[in-house]
Amino acid sequence: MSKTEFLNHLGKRLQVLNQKERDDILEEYAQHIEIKIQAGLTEEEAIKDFGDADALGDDILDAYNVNPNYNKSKLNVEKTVLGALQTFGRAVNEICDELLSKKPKELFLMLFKFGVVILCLVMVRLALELLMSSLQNVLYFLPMVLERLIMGVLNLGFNVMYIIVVLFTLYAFLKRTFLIDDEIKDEDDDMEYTGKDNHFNAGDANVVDVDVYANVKEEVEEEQQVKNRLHFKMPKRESKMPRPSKERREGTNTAGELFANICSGFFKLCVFCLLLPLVCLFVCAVVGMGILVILLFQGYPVVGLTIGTIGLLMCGLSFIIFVMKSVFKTFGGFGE
Amino acid sequence: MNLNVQFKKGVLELVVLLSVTKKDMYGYELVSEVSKIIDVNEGTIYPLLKRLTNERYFETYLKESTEGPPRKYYHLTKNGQFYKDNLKKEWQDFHYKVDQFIRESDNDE
Repeated sequence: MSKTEFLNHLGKRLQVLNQKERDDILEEYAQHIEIKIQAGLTEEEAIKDFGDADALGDDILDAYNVNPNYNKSKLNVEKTVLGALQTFGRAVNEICDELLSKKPKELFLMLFKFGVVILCLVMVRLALELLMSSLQNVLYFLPMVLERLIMGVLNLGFNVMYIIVVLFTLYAFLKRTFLIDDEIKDEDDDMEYTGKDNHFNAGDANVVDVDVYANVKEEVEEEQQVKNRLHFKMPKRESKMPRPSKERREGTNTAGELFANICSGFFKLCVFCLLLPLVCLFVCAVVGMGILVILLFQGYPVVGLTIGTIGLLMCGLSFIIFVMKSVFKTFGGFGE
Repeated sequence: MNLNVQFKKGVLELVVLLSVTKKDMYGYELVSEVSKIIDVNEGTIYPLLKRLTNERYFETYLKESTEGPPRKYYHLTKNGQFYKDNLKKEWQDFHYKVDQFIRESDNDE
């Protein structure tokens, strides 16, 4: 191994360190070798004294409190990330092509529609927040434990509902905007996932908002639960990412179909899991509605709340119908 | 063998600090000085120098040399002196105790 070879090898090994540190330490080794050569040793011999370059690299990283295995695991991560990026890039390409083939007027219209959709989602969120805070003010006459329980359940339900709304609106919007043919189907799926991921960020941001709104600890815990749910789901979705590449490698048409089937099945399962608490919430809302009506007749000032609950019921009902319809409609054709 | 390496690694820091106490040294000089006392892979001393510098026990400065490019000299800071004294005391204490224990166990036999 020559001096440059040795230094290059070591440099590669120390890639985690920042440029300045790396150059600094490599410079020391270079000088050390240089002095040894001046003292009459050959290049080979001078380097031999350092022993195995890999082991030395590990030692150096260790001195910096960096796990020497970091590099190796990073390579794997890099591969996965690169793969995902490639798929994402392809999806973006497809969409760009689609966009470029449209007229400016159409484009503008689409952008406008998208803006409206986003605005609607934000409005829904705001309305939810408002409803929650007003509910909390109204529920003060209940015992502490009961109040917290109700608020927690409602919070969870609202968040779940909101997530489904966002997912479906985005999905429906994307599907309608980019009419998919068989080829692009996979890419569109990926696009969908990125949409979801975006939403997750938005969701987290919303969580922070909620924290500002109400400082009740219980609520925060509930939020945490929702967050956890989100995070549980994230890896599942990501785990789907490598799958298309695996199946694509097989290169048969049936593989694509299989993937579509798996995807639709998984998605259905997800929706079902999310829908279940929502239905529970709906039932709770019906019961609550009954209680409210009784309270109203007894002269409690809960008119606003009653109207709000009616709105919630309507929303929930139409929402459930919407979800059911779109699931069966969307995935009925998907698997074929 | 493996245990021996661990021994060496533990004392290496102290020896490096002690070496620089006498006078400022540049990397190669320091490494050859230290490896006279402790037989370790020369390459492993540099990361140690680096770490001690990052922890502000060493200061470095460049000085022209008659042959080749300027060399980086290591200088022990006040902080480093304090650290070295502590380490030395710790080592002496440790050494004394272990030595005494060895003598005791020799007497028992």
